[in-house]
Amino acid sequence: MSHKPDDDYDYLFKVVLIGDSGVGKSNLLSRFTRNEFCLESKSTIGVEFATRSIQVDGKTIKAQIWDTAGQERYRAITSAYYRGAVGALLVYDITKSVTFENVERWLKELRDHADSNIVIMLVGNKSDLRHLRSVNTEDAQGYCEKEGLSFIETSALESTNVEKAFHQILTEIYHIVSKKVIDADDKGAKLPNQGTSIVVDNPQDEGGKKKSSCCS
Amino acid sequence: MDAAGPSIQLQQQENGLGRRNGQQQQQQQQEQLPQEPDQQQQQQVQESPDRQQSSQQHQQPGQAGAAAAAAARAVGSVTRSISSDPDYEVPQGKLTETQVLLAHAERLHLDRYGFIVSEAEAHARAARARRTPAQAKREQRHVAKWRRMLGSSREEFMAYAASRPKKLKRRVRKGIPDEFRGLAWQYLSGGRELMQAHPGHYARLLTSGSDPVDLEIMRDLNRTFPNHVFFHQRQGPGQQSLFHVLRAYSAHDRQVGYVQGMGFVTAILLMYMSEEEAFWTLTALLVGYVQGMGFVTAILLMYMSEEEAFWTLTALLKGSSSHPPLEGMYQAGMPLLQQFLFQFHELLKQEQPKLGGHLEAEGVVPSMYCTHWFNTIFAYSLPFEQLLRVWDVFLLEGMKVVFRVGAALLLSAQDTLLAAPFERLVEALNGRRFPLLSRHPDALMKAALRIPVSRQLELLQHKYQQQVAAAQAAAAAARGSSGSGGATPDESQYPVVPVAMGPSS
Repeated sequence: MSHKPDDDYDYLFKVVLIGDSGVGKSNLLSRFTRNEFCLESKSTIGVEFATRSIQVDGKTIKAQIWDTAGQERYRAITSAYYRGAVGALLVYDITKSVTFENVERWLKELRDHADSNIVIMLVGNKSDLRHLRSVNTEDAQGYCEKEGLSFIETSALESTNVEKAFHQILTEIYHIVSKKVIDADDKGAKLPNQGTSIVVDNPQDEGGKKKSSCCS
Repeated sequence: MDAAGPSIQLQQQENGLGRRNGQQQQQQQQEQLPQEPDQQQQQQVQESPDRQQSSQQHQQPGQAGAAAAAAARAVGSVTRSISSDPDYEVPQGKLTETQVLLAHAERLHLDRYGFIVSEAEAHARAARARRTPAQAKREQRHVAKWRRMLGSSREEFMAYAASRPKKLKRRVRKGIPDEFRGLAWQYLSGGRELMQAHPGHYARLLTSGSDPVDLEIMRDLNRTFPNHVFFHQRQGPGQQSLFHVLRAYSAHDRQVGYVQGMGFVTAILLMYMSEEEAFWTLTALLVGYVQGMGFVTAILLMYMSEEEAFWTLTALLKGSSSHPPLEGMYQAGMPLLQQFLFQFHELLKQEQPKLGGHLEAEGVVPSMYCTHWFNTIFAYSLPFEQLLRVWDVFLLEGMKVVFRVGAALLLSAQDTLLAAPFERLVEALNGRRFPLLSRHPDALMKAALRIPVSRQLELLQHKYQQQVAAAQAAAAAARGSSGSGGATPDESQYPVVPVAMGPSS
């Protein structure tokens, strides 16, 4: 793992993991940040948090990832964490079609509570359970094309595509943001006062504070 | 099967990663019963056709009668009367026969509370639990006092509690002897009174038809204390009981239904009492309880049907109370949880300005790390021995102990926390290991109970309500940029109050 010391990064991106309860959000996070998987991990009550840095185009990108409780009732708490997020991994379980059907509702949730320019990636998790698949890859893919989302299937258990998923979304955000910074400089920065702009040019800056206030 | 009744069909849901199958089922079913106290036994014997249908027995109907009879015999050998409360029998020692047999079947090593540990750890914990003769003697005296205090009936205990509240409080704070916990928790919460006032209600709830909420509950069964011998087996007796109680509660209180977090609370109760008792204790905690409710109920019953009496009582209870209702933690919008988070944030700032100030300056708010402290009364994360002590006090004194213990946990890690910036703070506080920083149960409780909170919490509750009102008024006045348009029906009832969510805006 190419973990760099805490504050040594070029960009700081806040990403949320959302999706129905039990689809494997917490295991995707633990696989990506700690390379751990737990078959019987507790359901998430509230939110959990982890970070990891990766390299993109020679830049160090640090992801602050908020993993959220999937049960609908908890949106009272978790929806506040969408604010300021530049990326969302919307996870469903390929063996439970209802979790895919609910993707629509999650997208609406994001539209209502997240920044409009948030990058969303649909993640079909548990791809190791081939014999139980109930959501076709093509269907999900087609849906994503229609909705303009990126798409990937993962298995947190087998560690398939987990790195790729996070890398892909972080890279996508990086490309958008690095372009936007230039635009924003021209226009007089609209983003920063949403607390979201996640772009911390100066790594020594109090990135943490900026970050945190954006979920408030 | 999945169409009717509360029978469990976990395999279908979860079998992708399933590791166990039905081999042990038969054994389990026979073993499951002995852990239920006597009253439950009798009910099962009497109502067995009903029960067969509504519970796990359905898989081997022929066995049920025999199993119940065997259980009734077995229960004699593992329980003994601790008081003459006619329908309460307590398993001797913490581990029930079911649990011991389950452990044997899989060659598991357990600690004395039934948690699955390595052999070495089991020995280590046993060694730690060993008492010097002097300690043992003190414990025996404590147990004897409790036995006297519990008396021979609930009424007797409640009379004692009313006449000597200070003594009761002191004894509860020292820790309720483990063998009496199940009963004492029911008395203190009011669950037992509710149960006695509503015979048959739980059994009826169990027979309610299937509901979408069943699937939600099932999804969490094997994620709730899988490290405890009673709950770790898929479709095992513990998971079945957990399922029954949670679905019964969701049928009983549609407004709350099932919310993640309730499972942890219920599982803890089930380690100490039968399904029906756990159901009523949960009900007492969530709906609230006023002492003497049984009496009120009796009066109501003179004038109305049982059903009507039940709902009238429920209505009376909301808001009044020795135990104020906690269901607001789980209702849509989680208003009570939001209030608790706000109170905790403010309390820290007031009472521990250094630490509270640091957290605030770094932008760390309670919802980032302690939602589950409140929503599971610490069951989600606190080590078991500490947890039991917290629950003892919780059952008598209510939610404020959660604030106290939470603050004490933070204080015990103060030095580390003060040195940490935002990310490391959240990681430390939010990590599931955080409460492990805590100390010996006695030390933790001592530190926690030293922190004054009652008055502050009252003031903060008032302050919170004012802010909610103000925020609602403001939102109504100016539907500004914060896009709350197009809320789902569920959400539209939320008082959208972001005050709990961070440094003053």
